[in-house]
Amino acid sequence: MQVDLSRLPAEYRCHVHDCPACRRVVEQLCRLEQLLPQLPVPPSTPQVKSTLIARVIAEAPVPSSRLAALRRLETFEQWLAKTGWKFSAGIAAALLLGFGVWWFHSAQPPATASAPYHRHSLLHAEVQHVSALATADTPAERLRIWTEIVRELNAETALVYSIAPEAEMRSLGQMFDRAVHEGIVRQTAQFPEQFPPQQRQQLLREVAKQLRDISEESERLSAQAPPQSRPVLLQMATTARIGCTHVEALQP
Amino acid sequence: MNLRPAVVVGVAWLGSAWCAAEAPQTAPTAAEQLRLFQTNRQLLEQLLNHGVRLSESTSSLQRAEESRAATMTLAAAVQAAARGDTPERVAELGDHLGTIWTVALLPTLTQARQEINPESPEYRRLQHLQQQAIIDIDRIEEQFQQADSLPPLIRQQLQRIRQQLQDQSEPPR
Repeated sequence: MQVDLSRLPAEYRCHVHDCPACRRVVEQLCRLEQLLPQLPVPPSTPQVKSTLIARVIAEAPVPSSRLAALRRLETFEQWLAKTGWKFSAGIAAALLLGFGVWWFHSAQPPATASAPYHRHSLLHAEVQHVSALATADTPAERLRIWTEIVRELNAETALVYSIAPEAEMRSLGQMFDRAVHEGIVRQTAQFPEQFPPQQRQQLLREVAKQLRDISEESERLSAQAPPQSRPVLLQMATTARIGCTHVEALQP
Repeated sequence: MNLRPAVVVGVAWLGSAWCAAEAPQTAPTAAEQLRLFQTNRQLLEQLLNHGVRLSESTSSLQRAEESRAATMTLAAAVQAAARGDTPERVAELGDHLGTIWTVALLPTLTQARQEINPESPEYRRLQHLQQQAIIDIDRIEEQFQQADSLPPLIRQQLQRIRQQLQDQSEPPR
């Protein structure tokens, strides 16, 4: 074991360095010092504490403030021993929970300025699609964009149909109808003759599948929709089915 | 060594910390989604009209003209928002206006400029359109300056777009 001789008084340091027997004693003392904290602390009782404090007071005069502090310490230890660790742990847990709840609420912004601002995903999508339509050069590109628009409108309807008033549902239904007829159906009619048949077939198949899915989804939602939303959902299902039939008829 | 108190306290601490970490991220509810739709309903219908007309356009000039019409629709929405809505709403619509300007109007103008013969009557229409687009930007900036509510990012974007439009307006060499 490495002995730190610098801890020894200067007058012994030289001797211990040269004397193996003394060196061994110092090593044992160092080792004992290291191991001592690992020993279990024997349980203390209020009586032991009281006796110790009485001996301290008897040995030397103690200032009154320190004396009061010592007595308070004694009282707390007695209380802790009486109530037991479960109660103490319970109080500590309750305090932490209380702090956690306070932390959670203080993390929320105040109610007035608080509601987080949500951007409208449908508006964002429609701006993107309109911009894309401005630079789309072929009917195939426009057909893809219109299929996306139809899908977005259907998704928005699915989000609000359970609580939307009739006017909003009607607006969604009309936009959906226009997107299918004036978007998808019209673009399929403008496919040039020289468009590669294989690509054309694949694109039409994808569009038809999307419309079929939308039709089925709208019909499913209509079964559970409130009365003001049901006619629009059924109309959407019909429109999507008509669009799908039209697109399927164009496939060779 | 008895670890039970430490475990009880630790679990309580972790529980409350988890609650605090979980809560703030929320998606819009159905009611919030409906409110968004009601707020933007008219704008959505107008944009759909622009989309239909863009699909029907047969030339780049027509598409540029329709794109400019779409920027006017969004500019009106931004101005209305600046009068009464939150800054977030103005910023949202400002972003959309910037998108239409940069992704729709500028490219279609560029394309039209490449396709149209400077001697043709369409070229005069194109020049007029470019001048109108610059005037639109000036007008929006002016209105916002009066209200002192033009977000700096939108202002920068407008200046950039105006510069591009002015560069495009230069006669071909």
